Amino acid sequence: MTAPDGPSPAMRLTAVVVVVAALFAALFARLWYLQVIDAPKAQQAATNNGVRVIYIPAPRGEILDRNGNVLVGNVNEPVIEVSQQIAAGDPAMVARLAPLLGMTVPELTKAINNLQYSPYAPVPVLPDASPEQILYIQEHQDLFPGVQATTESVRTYSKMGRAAANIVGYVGRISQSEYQSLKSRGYQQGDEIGQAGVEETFESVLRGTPGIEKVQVDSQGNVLATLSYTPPVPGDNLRLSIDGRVQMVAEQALEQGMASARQTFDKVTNRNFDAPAGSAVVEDPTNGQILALASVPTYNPAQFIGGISEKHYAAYRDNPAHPLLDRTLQGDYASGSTFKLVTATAGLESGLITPNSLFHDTGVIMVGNTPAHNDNYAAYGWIDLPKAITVSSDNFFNTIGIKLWYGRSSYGEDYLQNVAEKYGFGHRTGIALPGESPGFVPTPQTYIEFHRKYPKDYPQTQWYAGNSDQLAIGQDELLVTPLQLANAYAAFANGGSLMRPQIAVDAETATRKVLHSYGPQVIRTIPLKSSWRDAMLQGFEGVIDNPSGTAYGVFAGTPLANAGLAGKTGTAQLQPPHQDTSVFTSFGPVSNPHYVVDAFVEEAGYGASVAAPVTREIWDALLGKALEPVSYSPAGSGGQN
Amino acid sequence: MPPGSPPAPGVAKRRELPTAWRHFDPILMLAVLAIGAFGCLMVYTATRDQLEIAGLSPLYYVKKQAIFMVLGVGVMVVVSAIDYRRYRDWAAVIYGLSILMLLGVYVVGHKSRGAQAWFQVGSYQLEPSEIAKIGLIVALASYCATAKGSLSRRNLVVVLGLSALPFVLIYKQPDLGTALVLGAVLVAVLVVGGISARHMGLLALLAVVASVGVVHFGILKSYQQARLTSFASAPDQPSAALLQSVAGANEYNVAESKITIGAGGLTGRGIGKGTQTNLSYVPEQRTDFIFTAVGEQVGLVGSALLLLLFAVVIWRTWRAATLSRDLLGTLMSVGVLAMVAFQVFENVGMTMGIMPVAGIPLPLMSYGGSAVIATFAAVGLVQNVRMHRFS
Repeated sequence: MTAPDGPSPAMRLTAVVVVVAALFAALFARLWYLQVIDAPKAQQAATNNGVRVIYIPAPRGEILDRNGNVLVGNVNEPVIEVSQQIAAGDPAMVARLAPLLGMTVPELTKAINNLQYSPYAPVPVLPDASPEQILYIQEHQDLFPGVQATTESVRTYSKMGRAAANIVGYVGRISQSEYQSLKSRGYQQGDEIGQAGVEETFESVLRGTPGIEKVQVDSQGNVLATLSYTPPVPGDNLRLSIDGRVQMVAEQALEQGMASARQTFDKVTNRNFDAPAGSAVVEDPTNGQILALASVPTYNPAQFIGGISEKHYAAYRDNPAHPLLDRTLQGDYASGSTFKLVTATAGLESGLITPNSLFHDTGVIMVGNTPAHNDNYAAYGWIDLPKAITVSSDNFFNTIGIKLWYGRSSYGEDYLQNVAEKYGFGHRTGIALPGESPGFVPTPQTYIEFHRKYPKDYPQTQWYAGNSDQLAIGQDELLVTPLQLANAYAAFANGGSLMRPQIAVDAETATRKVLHSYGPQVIRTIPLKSSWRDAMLQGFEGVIDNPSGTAYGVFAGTPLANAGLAGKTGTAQLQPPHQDTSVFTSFGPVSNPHYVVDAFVEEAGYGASVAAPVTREIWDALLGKALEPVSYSPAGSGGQN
Repeated sequence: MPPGSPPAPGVAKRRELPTAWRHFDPILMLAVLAIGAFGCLMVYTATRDQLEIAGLSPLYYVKKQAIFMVLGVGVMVVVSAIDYRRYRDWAAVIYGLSILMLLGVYVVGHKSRGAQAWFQVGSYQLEPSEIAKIGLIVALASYCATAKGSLSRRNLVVVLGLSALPFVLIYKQPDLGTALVLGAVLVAVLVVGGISARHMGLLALLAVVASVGVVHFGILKSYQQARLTSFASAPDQPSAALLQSVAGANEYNVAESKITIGAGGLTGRGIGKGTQTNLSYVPEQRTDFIFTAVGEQVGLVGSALLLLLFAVVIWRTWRAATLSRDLLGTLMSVGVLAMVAFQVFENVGMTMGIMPVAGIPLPLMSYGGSAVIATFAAVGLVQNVRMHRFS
């Protein structure tokens, strides 16, 4: 080497090597940091990277009626599914697929990019694919990578199931708020969840356990291997207390009764009855089991499969008769004279009357300065309690209400209301169905409170004797649901046990092994002396089998006239242009009551006119008699309420 | 082994070898071959699963890489055999040819991923910028050696001119990473070749002003800026959404790269058992990000061992530089040393998130024929200097 000027090349070379050594030291230090100090975090991230969890929804359990008939089952529907990953990388395929499915490319792209689905699970884009579409895709699989024609398990409704739409309810996609509150219990976006009926209240029984598949995916989303697979466990079957046949008859009877009411002229409002809606309840008083809950008009639950269309939903929403409402437990009505069960019990319990004390019914009583007449200005003369029930004397029961009010210093001002509450009025029955109404029993306190809160809407400042007069015959502001009324009469029928109405009998496996039974529940016992009950029973029987009974004409001449049935008519009066609510409740056979049947028909007139013929039709089905078409029963002489 | 490579000691005495081959450096040779073999293994593990998914042979890339290695060893032998002083005589031709090839790329080059950097030769791509690195080393060493260890201002101007031409041509491809390698070679050759402290200071100032100017006037393309800055902002847990933008894609790349290396831990997850590598979570893993496959599969121990092998290569290159009989040999070796050291530091530093993403291969590890063969040629040059130190 030649002599250098300044530092020698060897020294300069050393400088270069020192720099290089420093750089390598830096690399090693960084390597140490990443692979020793920071390694656990990186290892966790690497694990998360490669593993994807795919949830496989479990088929829901079936919903059966009490005899094991399938109300709601499952069926495998053809569906076309598209892989999000593959579609994203193959717009030409999407463009080919769209016209085949009858969609535009933006529509299909939107359907594919449904954020409710995991990017690793195929997205159903056409839930009800036609056989032609399925076949075309299967035959041209090379044209449609990432598209599969397959089947998915969806709900299917038998004829009985459709008649029980209000009971079985429907399922729908989980909403954002439901997802937020349920995700800790294993729910996923896009899951189906019960949205109404027992589908909602027995969700935990019906749902089953989703399967879990863990797959290894690469950075492109290619599934390389299945790491583990836990198959889905189908939900348990739910056996309801509903009798599908009786449910269908009840719905049919209501429709017939409403149709005949619409052909009948109403002299009060000078038009035909509107009869837009009705409901009926059948309950077994021995255990509170519900055999039928019919609400008309109803909806078609099959329209909710895979999400109801905007058009169908709007049709239900905008229908003035509110088909989505279950009137048996969400409908609030004045009970009319069926409330006399409560007033009779209160009169006997308070000692105001005895089972055979006589009352002189002149057809009118004075409430303060206002005369109160019986319906149709009828006067029944000397009557006892059974007769008062049979003919439905208003004056007899008005008098009990008024006397309780005037004697409130000794009875307490809520005496009548307290007896009503013992029969379950004013409180939810606690049936395992969503959205039940508590009804409403007005009291002197509610009058004061409502006036204080809403003085314009409630100008009356306090309770008067006239309010007791009206409450005693089930008019005015009293509100009951058809289920509450049936349950109150069930308590009377079984001797005083107020049961919690039951909709489900048990949860079963697919092979009908019982997993859990839902036993009867007594809410409370109503003290009913046998002498009281006998007298009232005599009155209720007379409604049907005594020629002066308000519903005698409905049953006379039919085999049911001598079947040992008892009942009570009710006519809830509404201000014109509204028409009266037709109410009838019944139970039997009186020696050992097994059924309570009631019916409410809106804007349809007297209880005996529509509701009683509807219940008669249901009784025919219950007692195995030949069915007769329901027709409007003309009012006889005397009161009919 | 190719003909002419050194037999085991002891055998050498019985056979008459050309004098030069007796001074061949077996340690350098073994280190280079060890790195190359390990590189093939890493390329294999980083590519087999994706090849299988695509329905190709899992050996597709590793076979080609092995062929490059064999070709490279051949080139190394040829380059070692011809006395390096002959290269000085041919320096102008070598330099000129490499510049011509760089220009040619613009005319008939193959455009890929936004860069015009290759000639397509059959199913192979020839990357002239790799050849240009060797060309520049030979040219700079040959010219600076004439200054006998004291570079005048005029020498400096010539050297800068010689460097600027390939620098600009490569930068324009655009291949910023390789251009920066040329810069590293230039600095090392100038320092050892005898640049004065004053000139070095001026040069440093010029570099700073140029860098600021480049950033300020937006001469760098936006994706280049993104690459140069993304290493600082890479997230801990990358999401695929990042891939929507250029800057995001680089952040994603660096983040996955760090996770992959970190997942290896102290001893690694085992060859073929790295999920990040098997599932190809690191883009460009077989080329620029091959070090992540090392980090995940053999951990700190294996990675440090690989760095040690590179250190051996650098150490032996430094030995050749110090043992050289003349400044020419020293400067040629120094050029190679700078090239290898800078590429290792930049590449490994980039995968670990301490250097910007500049897109240069890890010598003898990254998949790619031109780079492998050019590196072997560079090692051949170093062997050459060592072999001819007495004659």
